[in-house]
Amino acid sequence: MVRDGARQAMAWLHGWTGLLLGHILFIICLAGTLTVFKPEISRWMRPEISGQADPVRAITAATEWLSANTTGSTGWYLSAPDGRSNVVDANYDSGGAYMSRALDPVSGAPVARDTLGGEFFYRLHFELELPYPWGRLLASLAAMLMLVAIVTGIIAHKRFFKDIFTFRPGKGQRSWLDGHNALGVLSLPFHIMITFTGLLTLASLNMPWGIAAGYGADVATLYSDLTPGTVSREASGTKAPLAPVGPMLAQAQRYFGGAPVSRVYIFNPGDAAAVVTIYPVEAGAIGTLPAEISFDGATGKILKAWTEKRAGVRAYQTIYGLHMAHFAPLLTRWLYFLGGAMLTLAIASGMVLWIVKRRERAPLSIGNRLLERLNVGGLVGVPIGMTAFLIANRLLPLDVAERAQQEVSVALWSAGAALLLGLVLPPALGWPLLLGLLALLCALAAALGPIWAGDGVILSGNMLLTATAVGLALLVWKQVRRSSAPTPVRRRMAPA
Amino acid sequence: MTLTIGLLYLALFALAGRMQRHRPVLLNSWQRRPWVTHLPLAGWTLLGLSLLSLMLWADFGMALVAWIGLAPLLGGVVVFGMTYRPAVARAGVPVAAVLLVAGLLV
Repeated sequence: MVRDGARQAMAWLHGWTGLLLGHILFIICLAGTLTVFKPEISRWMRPEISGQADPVRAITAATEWLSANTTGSTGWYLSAPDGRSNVVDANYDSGGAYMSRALDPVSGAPVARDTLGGEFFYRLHFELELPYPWGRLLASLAAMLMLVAIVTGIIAHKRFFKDIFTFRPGKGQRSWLDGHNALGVLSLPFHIMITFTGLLTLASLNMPWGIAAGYGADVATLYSDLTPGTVSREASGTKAPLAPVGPMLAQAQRYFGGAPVSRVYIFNPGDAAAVVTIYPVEAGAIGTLPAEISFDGATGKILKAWTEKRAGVRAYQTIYGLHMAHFAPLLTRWLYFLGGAMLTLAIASGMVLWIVKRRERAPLSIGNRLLERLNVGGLVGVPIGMTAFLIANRLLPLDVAERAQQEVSVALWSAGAALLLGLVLPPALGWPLLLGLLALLCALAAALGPIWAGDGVILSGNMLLTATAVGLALLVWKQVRRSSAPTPVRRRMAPA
Repeated sequence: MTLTIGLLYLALFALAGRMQRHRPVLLNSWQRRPWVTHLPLAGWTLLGLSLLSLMLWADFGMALVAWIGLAPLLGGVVVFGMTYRPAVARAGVPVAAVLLVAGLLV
């Protein structure tokens, strides 16, 4: 039995750990939830490319285009299309500039609609649009606080199993608490798993002492120990054309036991010392099986082939794989999405509950009044920014300079403006106004088209946006109707 | 998969139905039947069986992850069903029973 004093201390810690970085956690969880469908979001944002693409052909086309259109590259890092993505995601340098583009699977040229696509949500999830390493450190700190909040929440919860099935709507603070509990408890195993594995994916940053003790500043040795299959060699300075990658890809696929190729890294392209390293897809098992095969870029001969067998590394891969969910078939991906959405809503309801609880006891302090407005601006402003990102994808001209970055700017400025509105407006007006605006933006993003383009991904995306808009509109309508209804007069009991 | 879903829904329904607060809504006219007192045991047993049924999946790890995701989904149907549409939550019982039988047969 947990004593009531200890339970109260846990409840206090649960409240403060949740509150301290609550808005950051909300961004992390919402972006992470959307990242489950990262390739599909990218497809929605590049409607010009439809249908499936053959990975071998697409990589071949990409290398041919890169050979002809880049100068002085040190490396091309390519991700092949699969059943979900239908472009080659390429990171490369040319003429001293580093570029990140989606390449057409047929022509190999960059797709005209330059966008980060789902990558924006993925990066936002753990980098928070902050420079390295600050975003990742902040995300790590938030994840640690989240883990503390989950554990203290379990201990503080007196009727843990009884409250799983209890939700009493229309009862003010009680309803918020029921909702927060139900969201938190029903999906608790998922919440623990995703927080713990998320923390471990950033372990080298948030727990660097083990690495520092073993390797000091010798990062090169660390990486060669972690991935002993890697072949690295300096550029020779002698030019040599890249051998055809098609046969290398076919050979790699045979080495991986028939598993399709996923990533293709080409170091020193166009040099006699070029190296082509190929990795298999990560789908198929939770713990990805690290394997790689490297070829001499000029001759196409195998330099090294390697498959990971160390138990420690494979255990880490399982933890990493659980968080990334690349293994997940469609149903499991939706279940990840549901779990993420419940965690996001649990955080948001906890933030609102903090205010509702205090307002029912006494007039709000200045700090809590500020928090109440931050809740309006933050909890609605973040999704407004994300929807603005989708709208910018449709409205920005294709030839605008740094288009992908402009989309991100629109998202950040929109979220900032919504946050400001939330701070300025009284919450009774701010909530329905901003939620109504979000509903409108969701409907607009779906309506801007194309409504349907070759495959079901774009149509599904539009339907989800429309459903979100309808749900939000109903919420606003209910809120407005309740606030315009006459307030019942409370009768005070006469003292006996 | 269908077997696990059927067992899990019945388990969550039984565990919710054992509670005094939810019994009238979930069990309706059956709330005074003598077997109602055994619902906690039935609920926990079915929950255990739903976990055991994961052994039938090709990949236990993937099955366990799916179970962790299915629990909030089916729990949500019970919770929000009995709050807003009790008939839906109750209708889930025969559906789950059919899934269970189908899962056993297949």
